[in-house]
Amino acid sequence: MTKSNFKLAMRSLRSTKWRSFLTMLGVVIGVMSVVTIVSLGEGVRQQLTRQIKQSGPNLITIRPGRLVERDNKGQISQIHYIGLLNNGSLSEDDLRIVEKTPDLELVVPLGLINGIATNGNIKADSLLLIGTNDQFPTSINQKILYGSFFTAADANAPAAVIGDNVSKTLFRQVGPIGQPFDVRGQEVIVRGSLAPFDNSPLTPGVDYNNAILMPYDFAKTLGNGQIQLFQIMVRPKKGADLNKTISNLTGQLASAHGGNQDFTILSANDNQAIASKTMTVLTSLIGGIAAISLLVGGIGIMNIMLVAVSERTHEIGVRKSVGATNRQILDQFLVEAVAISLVGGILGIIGSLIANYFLRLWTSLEPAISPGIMLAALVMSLAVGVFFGVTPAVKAARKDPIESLRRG
Amino acid sequence: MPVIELSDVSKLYGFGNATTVALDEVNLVIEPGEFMAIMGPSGSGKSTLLNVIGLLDRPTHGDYKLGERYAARLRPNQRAVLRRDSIGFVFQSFNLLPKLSVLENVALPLAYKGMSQTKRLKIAGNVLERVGLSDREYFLPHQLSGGQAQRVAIARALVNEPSVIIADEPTGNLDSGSSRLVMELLSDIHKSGSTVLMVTHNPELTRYANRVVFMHDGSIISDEISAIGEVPRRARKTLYSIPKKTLQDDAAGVSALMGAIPEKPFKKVSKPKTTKSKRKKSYKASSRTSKK
Repeated sequence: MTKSNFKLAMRSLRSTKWRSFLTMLGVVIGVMSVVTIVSLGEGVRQQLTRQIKQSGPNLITIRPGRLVERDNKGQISQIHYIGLLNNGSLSEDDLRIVEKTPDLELVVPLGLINGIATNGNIKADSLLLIGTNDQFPTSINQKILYGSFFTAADANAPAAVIGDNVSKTLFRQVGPIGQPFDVRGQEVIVRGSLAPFDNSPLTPGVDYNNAILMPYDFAKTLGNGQIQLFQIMVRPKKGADLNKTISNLTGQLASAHGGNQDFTILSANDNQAIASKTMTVLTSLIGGIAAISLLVGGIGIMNIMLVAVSERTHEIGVRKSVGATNRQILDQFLVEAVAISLVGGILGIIGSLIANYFLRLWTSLEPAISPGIMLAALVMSLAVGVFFGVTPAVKAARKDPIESLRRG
Repeated sequence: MPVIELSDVSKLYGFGNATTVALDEVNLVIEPGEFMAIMGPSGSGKSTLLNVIGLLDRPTHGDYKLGERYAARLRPNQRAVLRRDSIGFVFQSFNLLPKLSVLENVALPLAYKGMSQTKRLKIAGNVLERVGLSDREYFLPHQLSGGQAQRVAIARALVNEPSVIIADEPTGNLDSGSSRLVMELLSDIHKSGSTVLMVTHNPELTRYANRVVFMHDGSIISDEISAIGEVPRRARKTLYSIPKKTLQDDAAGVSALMGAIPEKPFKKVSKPKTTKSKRKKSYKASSRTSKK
């Protein structure tokens, strides 16, 4: 019965092509925007995860500010999203404490200095100037695309390694090795260029593709002694216990801060959890807004179905007079509403696939559409059809056959 | 055993002063195989009677027995199922669904029975052959003449092999030639053993019936058995007491209706209940003008 109802519904939709199409469009746009946004979020999440995986499972990051709350088992229970952008409260004293901690393979400080990089007439004020040490590429397993990274011997040398975008913005050429540029009147020579980062998971808000990395001590001098530590990356020696190292670091830093935990130590897993949770929150927020358009689409269906029911009153009367039960009339109109929303859903998914294709083509985003998302979208459009189709269908089913027949 | 048994069936519309009596304690017994014509002026309750018998409407009071089922107090869905299985409707305005082909229109009642598509189209094809429209199976209703459309409607009414065929002025929209064809078809159906109820304004058509009932103000005022091929006495009076325009007009049932109103109502066929008659008269007087 449902199958023949569906055929009947498709026929009735075809007979009012424009109207059906426009009604469907509401659902198409709704599903398309929700699916696209969710797959975008999923894509970014996958990029973040990949980046964290690339850095290895035992990289520990220390950041200023209290970013997370933990439950008894040490699992992250709450994230302070505002704190993710927080700086301060991490000093060079802390760096020294960390460096003295036993069983560490490497310690990489990351500090920001103020300044604008210029190259002749080109002024690049959006670039970040970061001081770090020679271990930086090792710590996160980042490849050097051109040239080489500075070494430990270069601590005070005016050398720089640039992010992938900098060659475009500051030099307008590929691999500007040996090219000079100026920061605060000091000439700095480009030593190397980093391979592009998918994203910047290690520090939200810092885009390493738009960063100029310089030796820590040189950078500090360049900034007149002012350097703001926003992250210290630590990797324990092979065989050392990760959790033990973390608790060791936590204890030492806390005692240096007078017992306050105004810093955060995160393992690779924690970082991944934060990235994942953050993306989920963001995606559901924007996806939720997009879902409103689906709601509007649903109201469109309801509206058009109400019109259809009153237009087809006579048909309902005829059908009832030949023995259709209320339930059979209800099914007929409900299936019609569901057909609109379901076909709209399918078109929306196809539209979203096309949109994702062009997003990959034209932007650096890599939206990931999974079968799960598609299935969820279908179920969602089905639910919209049922929810907004029920009222008109009930109205149709309850029509009085004699009255309906009279409306010929 | 009668196929239809109405006892004291009343149908009232409205409340209080505005109450309209569409059916006034009608008693009617119809045996299987009867061809009953129902006549009467507009607003006399003929259509309401057919709607009640056809289970489209439920009586306000009284009992209605269709075959062995007590049908007056059924719930809407039970009524729908009973209607589907035992009643076939033929309307004045055909009431075919415009977007379905002739074959699909005929098969419609079977679809609500849950029959598979191939099976129901096959049965519908057979019934269409019976009404002589096999070559019109894939036409749409608007491509048919009025007579053909009505024959399709009759095929649709027949397709479920109902125990009662209800025809509400089946020739009202047809010319005389088509009228004759349709009436011959109904007569054939009657001859093959079906029970047919027909409302008509045309006394000529009572020739096809073996029983003629007159209604007035919701009551049956005359109930005659007559041989097929004869216009019964009362109908003949209707027939000859009005000025006719042309024979064609009359045969198509266009005019010939106002003469059916008797000067003085005949004695009721239903047992009049003396205790209630006074009360009835009071609201009947007020309702006569307000009825459709």
